[in-house]
Amino acid sequence: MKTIIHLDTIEKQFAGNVVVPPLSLSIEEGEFLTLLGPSGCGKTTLLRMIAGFEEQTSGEIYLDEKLLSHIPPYQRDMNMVFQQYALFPHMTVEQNILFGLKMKKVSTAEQKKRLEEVLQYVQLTELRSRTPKQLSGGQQQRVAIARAIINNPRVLLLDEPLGALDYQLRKSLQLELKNLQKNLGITFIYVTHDQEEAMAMSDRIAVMNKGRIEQIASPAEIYNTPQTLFVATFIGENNIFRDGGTITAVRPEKIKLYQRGEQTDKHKKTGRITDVVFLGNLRKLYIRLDSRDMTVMAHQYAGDGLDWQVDNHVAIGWAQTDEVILPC
Amino acid sequence: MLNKKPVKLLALPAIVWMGALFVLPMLLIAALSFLKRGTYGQVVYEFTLNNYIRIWDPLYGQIFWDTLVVAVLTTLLSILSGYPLAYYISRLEPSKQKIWLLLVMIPFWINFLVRSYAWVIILRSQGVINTMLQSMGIISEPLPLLYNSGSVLLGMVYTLVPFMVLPIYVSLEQMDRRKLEAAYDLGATPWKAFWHVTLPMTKTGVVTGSILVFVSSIGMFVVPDVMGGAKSALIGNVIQNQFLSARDWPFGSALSIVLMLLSMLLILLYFRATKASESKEGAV
Repeated sequence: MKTIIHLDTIEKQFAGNVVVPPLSLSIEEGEFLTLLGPSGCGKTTLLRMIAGFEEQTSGEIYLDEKLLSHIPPYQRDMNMVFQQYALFPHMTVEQNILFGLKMKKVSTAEQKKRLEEVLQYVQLTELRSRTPKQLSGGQQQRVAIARAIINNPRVLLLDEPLGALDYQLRKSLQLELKNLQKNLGITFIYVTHDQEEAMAMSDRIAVMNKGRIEQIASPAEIYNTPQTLFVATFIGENNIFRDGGTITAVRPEKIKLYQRGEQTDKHKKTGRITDVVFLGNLRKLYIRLDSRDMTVMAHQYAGDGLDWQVDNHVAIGWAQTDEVILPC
Repeated sequence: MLNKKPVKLLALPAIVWMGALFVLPMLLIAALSFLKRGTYGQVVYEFTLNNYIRIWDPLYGQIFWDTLVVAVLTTLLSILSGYPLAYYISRLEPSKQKIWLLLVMIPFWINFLVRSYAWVIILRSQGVINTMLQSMGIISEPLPLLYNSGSVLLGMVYTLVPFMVLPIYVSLEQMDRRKLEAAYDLGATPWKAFWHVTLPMTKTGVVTGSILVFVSSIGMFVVPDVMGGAKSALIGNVIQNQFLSARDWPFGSALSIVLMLLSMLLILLYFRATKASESKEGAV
């Protein structure tokens, strides 16, 4: 795989406050990379530095091995899909989409050809002469994407592009975006705080916390073998056991429940069920441990034949291979 | 839901105020314009169209035309000088913005007449500029800086430019900066982004400011009186004379009505023109 963007120990400070401490990152050509983290973790700042809207305090950015630092955003061969889309309200859908090509003085014939292609691709042909105000959120989102991809950018930057949409629409657009990325073969750098979204779409996820990249790996790796406590608790749900100097994380779905007295050496701890939460395909069980002040969460799937109730006294255990030892 | 009755009551003082001090005098002026003037300047209650026929005299046509030219030029110059200032202010830190806006408004605190005479002191033959240039030996004869159409224009723009700056500043402030970033992102240089995004998006401010400046300058009589001398009488001066010196209230009223209708017509045309360009505007 070829590196398309390389961040070389870039750092960002705002008025003396370090927002992004020096970090390096290589992004591969054609990959879907997600910067995931809670708000204020520096993911948007990182994206804006790549786009050129913020200048890094130190370090360099390379695109295709060419130095990108100090090149203004309008000369960088990448495009951005903005949070809330930032469409031009005084232009029609068509004029919005054509803006980039007009700025680059692409020939009228070429403009026309690409416009028709893109309009068809995002299914906006019928809405081409409307203004953004006359469109729904989902349609505006398509315009924003069309306006960016018509320029055939080397890299597409997406800043929480689904954040303003409702849950159902977000779900269906996640799939669409992933397919779009596969079909176009453009490198996507996607910023979100929604881990589900990141899991569903990304080739790699960079989990960020306080400006640092805690872990960068495939969604499965991130989920199954988190490398830090932050990743273990931020991605999905986890039970964290602290025993002396070691921290052990065990996913709720890996926790097995037994009747107390059922003697197996797998039993690690005993406790009492305090809550059962019904979630359709599964029940979440909350187990108060006898030995210490801690509640463990376990999953009980529909159709597994077990029927645990509140106040049941249980023993819990898990396979050695299902636990993740974390650094302190 | 808000009950409508108390809201209506709250609007009552303003309605009464406007009715008594604006609508009523307007109706009086309209009525007056169809009456005759008596020999000693009193109003004779007899219907006539003579006042309106008199306006067709080329003398008044010329004055109306001059007034329009000055008003249009004032508006244009106010846009050209007011927009950059508003833009500059909107890009400052919030605390500095407040200071600059205050500076824009401070002249309103000083009497208008006083400010106009201050310009006379600066521009006249023995004024600040001429004395300075002469003592520096740059000129031997004083420059004719005052009592011409240039000085009238200067005075008008000086007086009215805040009415342009404030609405433009407001629309620049309200504009979402991300739209500008989107333009840069799509390859627009700062100048192109301004021309294709910022300017069309702040058009409301320019239109509002233009109407405020145009309407104010079309009826202006103090500035041409003080800074223009006898030569550059505008329609505002003629109306003022009809009421105060010639004591011909009916004719003054007729001139006022025509002036009002003319401004309304021009504003309407201006609205039409800016609305019509809206659809074309985006066509980069």
